[in-house]
Amino acid sequence: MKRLLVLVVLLTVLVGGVQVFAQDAVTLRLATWQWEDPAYLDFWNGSVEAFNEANPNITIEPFAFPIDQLWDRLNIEIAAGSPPDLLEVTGFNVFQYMDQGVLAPLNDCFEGTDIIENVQAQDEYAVDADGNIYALNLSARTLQLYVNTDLFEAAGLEVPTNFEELRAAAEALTIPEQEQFGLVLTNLAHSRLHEGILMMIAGYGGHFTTDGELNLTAPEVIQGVQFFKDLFDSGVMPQGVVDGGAQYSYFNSGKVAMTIDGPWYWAVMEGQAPDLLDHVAVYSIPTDSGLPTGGVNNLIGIAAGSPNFDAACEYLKFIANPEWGQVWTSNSRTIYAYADSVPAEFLSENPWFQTFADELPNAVPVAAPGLEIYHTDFVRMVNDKVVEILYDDLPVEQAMQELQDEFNEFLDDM
Amino acid sequence: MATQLQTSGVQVMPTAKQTRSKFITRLGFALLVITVTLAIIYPFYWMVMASFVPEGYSIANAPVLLPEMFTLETYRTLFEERPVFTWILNTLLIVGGSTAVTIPLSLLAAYSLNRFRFFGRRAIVFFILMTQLLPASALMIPLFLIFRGYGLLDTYQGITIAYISFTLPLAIWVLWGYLQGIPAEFEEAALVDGCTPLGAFVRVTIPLALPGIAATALFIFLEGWNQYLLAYLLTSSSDKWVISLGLFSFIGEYFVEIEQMMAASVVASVPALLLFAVLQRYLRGGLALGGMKG
Amino acid sequence: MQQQATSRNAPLSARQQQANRRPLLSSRLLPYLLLAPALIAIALVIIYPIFYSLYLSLTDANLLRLSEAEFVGVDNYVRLLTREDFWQSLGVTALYTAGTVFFGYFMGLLTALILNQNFRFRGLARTLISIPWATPWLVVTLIWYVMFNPQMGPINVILQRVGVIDVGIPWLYQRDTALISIVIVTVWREFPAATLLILAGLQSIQPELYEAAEVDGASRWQRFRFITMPSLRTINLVVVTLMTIWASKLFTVAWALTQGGPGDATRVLSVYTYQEAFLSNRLGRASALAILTFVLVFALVVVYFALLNREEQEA
Repeated sequence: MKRLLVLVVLLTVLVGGVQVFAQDAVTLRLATWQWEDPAYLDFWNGSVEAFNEANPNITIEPFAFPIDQLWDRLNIEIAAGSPPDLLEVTGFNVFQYMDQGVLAPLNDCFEGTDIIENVQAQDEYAVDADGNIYALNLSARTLQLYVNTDLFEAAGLEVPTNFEELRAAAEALTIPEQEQFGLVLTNLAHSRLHEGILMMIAGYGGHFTTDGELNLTAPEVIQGVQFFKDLFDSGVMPQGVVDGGAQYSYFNSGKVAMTIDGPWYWAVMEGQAPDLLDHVAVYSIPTDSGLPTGGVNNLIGIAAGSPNFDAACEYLKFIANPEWGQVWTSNSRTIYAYADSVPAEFLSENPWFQTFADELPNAVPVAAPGLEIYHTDFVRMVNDKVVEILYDDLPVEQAMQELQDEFNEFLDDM
Repeated sequence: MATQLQTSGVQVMPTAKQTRSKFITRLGFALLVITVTLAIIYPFYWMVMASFVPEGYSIANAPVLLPEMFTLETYRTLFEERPVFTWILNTLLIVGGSTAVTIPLSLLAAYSLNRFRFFGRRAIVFFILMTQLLPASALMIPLFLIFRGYGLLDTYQGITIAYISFTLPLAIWVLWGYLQGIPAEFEEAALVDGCTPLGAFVRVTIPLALPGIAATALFIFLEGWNQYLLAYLLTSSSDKWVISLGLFSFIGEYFVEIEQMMAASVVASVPALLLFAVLQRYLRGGLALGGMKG
Repeated sequence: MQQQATSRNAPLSARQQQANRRPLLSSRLLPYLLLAPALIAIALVIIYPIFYSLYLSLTDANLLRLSEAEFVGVDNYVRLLTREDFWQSLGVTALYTAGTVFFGYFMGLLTALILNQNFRFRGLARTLISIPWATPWLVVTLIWYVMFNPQMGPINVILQRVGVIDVGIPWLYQRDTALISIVIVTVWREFPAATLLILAGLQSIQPELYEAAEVDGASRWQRFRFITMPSLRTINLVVVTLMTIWASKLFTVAWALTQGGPGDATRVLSVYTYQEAFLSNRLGRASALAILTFVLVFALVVVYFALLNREEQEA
């Protein structure tokens, strides 16, 4: 009995003792969901390795988690008092993070550097009313139309340029006997679904909000959602497409004529379906307004409360230059925000990128203007409601009214 | 005379028709058994098969998945790409630790509740039953905050202590049920022979109850192996992940390698299955009444 | 003679006399002393957290701004009980519980009846049928996550090949099928426990009862209804109660498979609590939920004890 007790105590002490080994050097944790993403691997792995070598007393460790767990994992880490020092955020939920006080202001960090002058939109994007900058912009993008040229040529069709033509082309190119679809888009609860719906709404010239207030009964909203629903019902898109991966596997198979995605998809195809690339072209998004959704999409910030602010800042300065920018750009095919990050050969090697480059200034912001700080919750609510519209045939107008009410209730409850 | 003999219950040779209908019943029954069993183990079968095929193969060849290509390649890449051994070691350490603490405490408590009559005994039994029924979600917030205050977050000790919150009541309950099956006469004989009650306990009861103690230890070990929520909340560093956290990381990734995921599942199941096989014998003893957990 | 004193009335040996002089270990405090370590541990990791939860539930604590928590009285409870979300979650939990208990019991009964027959590979069948129960929860979740995949999961492939459906059903992503899916997964994993318990009950029924009934001309169904089921009454109660309690605790499957979705279709109470705490950061509200869950479980236990008492008295 006694011996067992002693053993238990010893075991506890032993385990406890192992924890005591202090570390002299600083270890930073870099949180991103892109550690496994082939389009961004080279940048993150490369820059972290190079940084670790150049700074022997600082080590950066990856903190990897699937993007689904992003929000709650971060909350837990922050609440636990051990937030990852460096965190990548999306351009759409950075506002919510700013509002929650998750990110540390970087003005001091950027002082004495040329970051603010050279990084696109650095002084206006993740900035609050007092001029505090909360994240380093990494890249911006829009979503455009990817087309399988073989399927179009075989059917003798022209690439669509507006909603009517899009619908017609999708229907003409859907051949169930050959398991061929006209269009593939994410149609299950995922942030891509929210953006897919927004695409259509923006295509009619609207957004979820009007003048900063939620207005889901606006005609543009109803029309946009209805258009998506009609496409879904007409069978031109495969049902049950749950996320980007599923979307890609459909288009990669060569049996889908169109998809709408960002420039990184080209890099993904290079890895997953290189033979298909000769038969793919990029066109501007075929909606009535022609306005794409997008904007700054990736940023990196330092967690408020991180004890290693200075070390983390070193990393930010380390990657804010054209050298790493070119690595980012050539791999992910999204343009790094620092000036001169597009390698000279890039555009000649990637002519399809022209559309993305041309359309970026026209981007409609993904976070609803006026409701940016509720973005994460709003996306969730929109997705749930749209899934009901698509799969349970909830009428669009009724659904939008319900969603409006739900969101107002949500605001009341805050 | 002949008819009287027949109705007095003497065995009569079955007719041909009876034999045939009995055969059909038997056949039907056999089919039922086979169908039900196959349907039940199908998902498990699929997991095992999918782990032994090369990547991409399982989906293309669903549902039957009789692999022409049997390979261990997936396991190799699994162990190369993911720290499965670390997950297992962490789990062994944490669950082993909490089991090591729980067994002595629960043994003393179960003995006390079983062999003595004292004030408050029934209340305490009821109380312990109640604590065993708390969902992890009820305790997760305060445990998280309390541990945070004591710097126990993301530490092996902290997670081990948190595990005790569900292993201890369960172990007490199971051991209590088991001890009920051991007659008190053995100890009373020892008492009369000059042992103290505690001595009787150590020298008589424990040896008798060893199988039950072992079974309880295995049982709560199995429970700990299963635990997810508490581990998820209290662990930050991925090098401290237990097996359930490692498995969960497969869900929600951009490009899920199904075969690898199944291989990881097989690895995670093996210890549990082994433990269960050992436990099988005990399941119909006192343990059955002890309120097995899900 | 003296060395073999076995009766209590014999004069005490020296050792016995010494034992009586050690008050602590032989005293009436002994049971409490033995209990103490375990009770202290329970007090630390269970009781204290519950009271802490109670305290939190009376504040507006926010996960990211813990130092700013203020006392708000029963506001959290009022809000919970007056808004639809709580009742919806309770409803989902009740539906889920009813589904898993009903089908879990049914499967358990079916397989127990099968295993109660004597046939050649009975032992093997029993082992195979127990496999789901032995599989860790997260592994179960992963397997079924793949099984239910809309495009490629075996379930859809089988259904399509057999011709029941044309297009793969997005099991986990539609409101009506999501709840069914997690019920299926839970039943699959839990029914062997019911099987084993019911089987034990079946095997303790005396065969003479059946023989007598057969001679009396009772059909199979009548034998089942009037002998088997009544004899199983206690076991049935145990099984149903256990499965109910398990269902009320479930978190892993609902969270890992569907995250409570789509929308709130599978948002059982434990998932709702988690979301309130770590997604919405409303610790006060989440703690109130936890307390409410605790009260519900307590009520369940009371009912269990009452029913069990009544069973024992009737037996």
